[in-house]
Amino acid sequence: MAERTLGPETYFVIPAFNEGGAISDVISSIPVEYGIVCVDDGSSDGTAAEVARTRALLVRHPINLGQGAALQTGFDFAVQRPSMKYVVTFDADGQHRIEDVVAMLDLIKQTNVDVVMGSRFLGGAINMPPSKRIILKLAVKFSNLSTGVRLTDTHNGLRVLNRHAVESIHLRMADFAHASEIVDQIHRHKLSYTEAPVTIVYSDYSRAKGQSLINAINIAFDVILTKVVGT
Amino acid sequence: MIWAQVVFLVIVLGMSVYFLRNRARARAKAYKKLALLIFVLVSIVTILFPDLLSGVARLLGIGRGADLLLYGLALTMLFQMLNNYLKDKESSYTINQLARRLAILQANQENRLTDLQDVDH
Repeated sequence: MAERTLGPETYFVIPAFNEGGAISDVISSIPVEYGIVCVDDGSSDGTAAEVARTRALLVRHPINLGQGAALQTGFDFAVQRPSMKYVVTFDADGQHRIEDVVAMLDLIKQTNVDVVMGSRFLGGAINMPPSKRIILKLAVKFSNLSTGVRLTDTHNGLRVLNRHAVESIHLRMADFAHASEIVDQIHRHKLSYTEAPVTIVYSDYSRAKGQSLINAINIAFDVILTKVVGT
Repeated sequence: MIWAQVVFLVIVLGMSVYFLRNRARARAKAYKKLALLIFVLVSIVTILFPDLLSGVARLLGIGRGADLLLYGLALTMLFQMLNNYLKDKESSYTINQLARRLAILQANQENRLTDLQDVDH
């Protein structure tokens, strides 16, 4: 029996839509022992060309589908890798820190949970706009009430999932409602989970790329509608 | 007359949820077609006998026949909007799956060479 593992056991999944300005720096900040799957979500700014110059595995959506769809594509692609044991979901705009990922990977290995969710409210949020804090807190209240999964931060892009979780989760919501959907599926598939403190750095770049707060209404509408009439 | 309104509302909401939940099933589709047929028949009857609508409206405590008509139209439109919204979501999900399949197939082809190099050393 060859004990040689072909490829890394941890893959970063990075959805990227028009992130040409930051993506190569984000990718080069990731240590080489981790694999990288970058899903270009039909960008029009040369993101795919930027990624192609790096060591990341590139998956290109022929059209723009949304961040949730890009994550699911990354999951499907990572599942094909036999060496994959863990997937890290990581934002393309450079707001996450590698040291948090390392701590989360240690935690998932120690505790054997299926999912470790990053929480900026346990850790820190540098330069977070106050309006964003309010909306995120409301989202957490809403999610805790509607899903039965207790978290302190539901809309954090940094998560670590084990293979079982990646195989179980199937995101149908293509847009930014996927954060709520992941929480919902953790509940539905009875995945075990825990939270880890992370620090989010809000740069001018990530603030400009961030979600508009008004979109919270769209997300809430879709989540409630799905609950009432099914998918 | 308030009871008639409550019963009416419950029936309409219940039907909407039933149809939206089961929209893919043949039975719900058949009921929708039957409902359309009934709608056409009722329309013909009310066009021929306009006073009938006012009678029904008074019976339900809604007021004039025109009010009942407006009421019905508003509900139909709302139902139709939701139905279309969900249908739209479903078809974009189908497109997503198609695009994802394509993206992964292409990536597998492009990444095969690099993968082999990884395995070699």
